[in-house]
Amino acid sequence: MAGFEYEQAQRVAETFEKHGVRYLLIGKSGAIVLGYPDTTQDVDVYVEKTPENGEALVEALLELGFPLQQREQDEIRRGKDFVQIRTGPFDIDLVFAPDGIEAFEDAFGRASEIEGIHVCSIDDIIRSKEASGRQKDRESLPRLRAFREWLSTQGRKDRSSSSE
Amino acid sequence: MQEATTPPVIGVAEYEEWFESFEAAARRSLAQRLKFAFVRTYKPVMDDATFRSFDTMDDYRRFCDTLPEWLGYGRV
Repeated sequence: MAGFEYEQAQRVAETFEKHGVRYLLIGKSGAIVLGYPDTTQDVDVYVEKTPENGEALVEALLELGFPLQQREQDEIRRGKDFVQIRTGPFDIDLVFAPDGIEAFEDAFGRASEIEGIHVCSIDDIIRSKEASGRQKDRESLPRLRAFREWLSTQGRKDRSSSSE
Repeated sequence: MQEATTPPVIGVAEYEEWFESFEAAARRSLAQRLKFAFVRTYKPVMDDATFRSFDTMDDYRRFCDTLPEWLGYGRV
């Protein structure tokens, strides 16, 4: 199975856009798009949990080459909290109700768009990892918090250079 | 000996090293960052099914608690 490279990320963004899928990258894959240097193996996508979005998501995944069986399509449409797919062009986790985030709309308002890809804010990524209670997330938090601090210094640099 | 669940204490040198790695990553394009970030590794049990779905995150967390402990997916 291929990794998740730039062309694929662009294709996902374009296909989700075409089908009107409301999504945000989250987890380590989201942090990586924000600039965080690390490795991961799957793409974590926070998807708005509505019947319309579930339908759009199934159509988009089929177009991207995920060979979803009818039962699997129905489960995604029905609105689970978490779906893991390992048969597509890349590994993907669909998260409909991430820990630590109350509402998709709020997270979307705090999110960024980077080269066409919608990504959760670093605060939301950290918040969801804090709330998950998993050992691996707990271990990754100090470096992610340091990255958030570094990002905030970049914002200050940008502001000071633009005011010169 | 430090327990596995204790958050690590971060030294100044390590912190500076992280900041340097963030600076270096910022000099790479998104295409380069993605190319080196996604590394496929087999995770026992977790990767043995092609499709899994969970009605609630609690159900998913309970499943993660059954995975081999060293994968780190279990709750602290």
